[in-house]
Amino acid sequence: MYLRSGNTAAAIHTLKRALTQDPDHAQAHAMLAQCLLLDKRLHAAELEARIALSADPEMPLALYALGHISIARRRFAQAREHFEQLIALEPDDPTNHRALAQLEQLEGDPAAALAHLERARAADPEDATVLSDLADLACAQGDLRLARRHAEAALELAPGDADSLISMGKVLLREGSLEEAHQLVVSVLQVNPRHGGAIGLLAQIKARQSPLLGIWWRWNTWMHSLGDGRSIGVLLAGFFVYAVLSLATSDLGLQKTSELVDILWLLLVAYTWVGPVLFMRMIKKELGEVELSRDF
Amino acid sequence: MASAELGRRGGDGGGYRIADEPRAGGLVQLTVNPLWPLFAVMFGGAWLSWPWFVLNGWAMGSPTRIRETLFVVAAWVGSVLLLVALLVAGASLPEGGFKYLFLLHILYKLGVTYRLYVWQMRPFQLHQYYDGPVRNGMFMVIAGYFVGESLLLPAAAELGVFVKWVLQ
Repeated sequence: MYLRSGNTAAAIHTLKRALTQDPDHAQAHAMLAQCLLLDKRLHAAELEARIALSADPEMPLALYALGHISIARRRFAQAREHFEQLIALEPDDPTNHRALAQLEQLEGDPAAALAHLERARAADPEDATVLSDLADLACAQGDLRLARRHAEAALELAPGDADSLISMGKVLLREGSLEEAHQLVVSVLQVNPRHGGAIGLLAQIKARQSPLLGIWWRWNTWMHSLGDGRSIGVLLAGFFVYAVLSLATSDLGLQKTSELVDILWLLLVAYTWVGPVLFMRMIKKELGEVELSRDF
Repeated sequence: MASAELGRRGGDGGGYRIADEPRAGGLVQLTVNPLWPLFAVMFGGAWLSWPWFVLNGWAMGSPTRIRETLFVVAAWVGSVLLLVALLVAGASLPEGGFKYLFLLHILYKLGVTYRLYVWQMRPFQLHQYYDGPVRNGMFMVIAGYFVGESLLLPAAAELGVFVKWVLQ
């Protein structure tokens, strides 16, 4: 229940109490791994999932969590191993095929992702989340008509399903209906203020409304997709290019150009400092309004 | 049982402890946002930033504090070795060429600092989540800048420019 409403803090607290009573409760370790993953506490999440697996090497929940932790750590080969093991254990569970489809999409193979999603749909044609994933995939490939059809079908099956609402929101955003997309996001955040997909879509809407901050959002998303090590590399490479340009132009006697390079660099640095603050303020304001409007 | 080995029972009340939860010690009052030691390398130098990261890791009870400490020790050794290599390589360069080579040393120091910053941000967020005390590190950065510029680095330069570059 706590997890459904995005309240990972309460879920973690409850699971810690359970584990204090019974530290060997494998299911509780697996659920804790899932919560920690949602909080992006990957190191601890992986440890908890492994504890669960050491007690039961074939526990689906722990394998599922470990697969997603591996994705978050950009260890795609390991994630594939876990998901394939999961599918071998539970071939009729659409969730497992959806997980593998997500991985295929991340690895840039939409055809394979589609094949897994079709398998998931065959396993349970009434599963709205599968249709929602199909909508997302079609949307990412630019087929907005198909995406809309899947999203509508998902909402018909489960009218209040958060993922389906967000899929429809993505379609609306791509169609240029910012206000309608915004309304859907707000309706999801009213139930779960920490819904990752909703926050991501809200950020995209805000980025569209403010092109200058939108550049920062896209840059930030790209840097996150690189992981810690590579993003540090990109920052250092940027600094190196600037420093060489600044020194070289100065050595060549191009003082004005050298000053221009310095000013441009300072502006870029200032933008990367101010941009996120303004952007997050904009998002937080929106989330604050959403939380105030909670009447359930 | 595996959980007895991998999971932890906390010292505070014996409740189950998750691996990344901070275990603050007596230095907890000295915890700062890792952003300040990051700034310190830009305004003061590695002499201020890296030891500060180590202190901060122990203060907030970062689960990676031992790794951070060993990393800083290795980074100092690496810094000295890199400088020696650059000086050897730079001996054959024309006048004015060494400053380009020296950029690699600056990049190395920034890389080490960013790595420490990334490691400490997650435990710091948890430290804040558990209402741990956080000091403002701005005054330390300002003080570090003046101490470095007026006292430490000139004194180091007296010993030799190599010492100054290592500390910078």
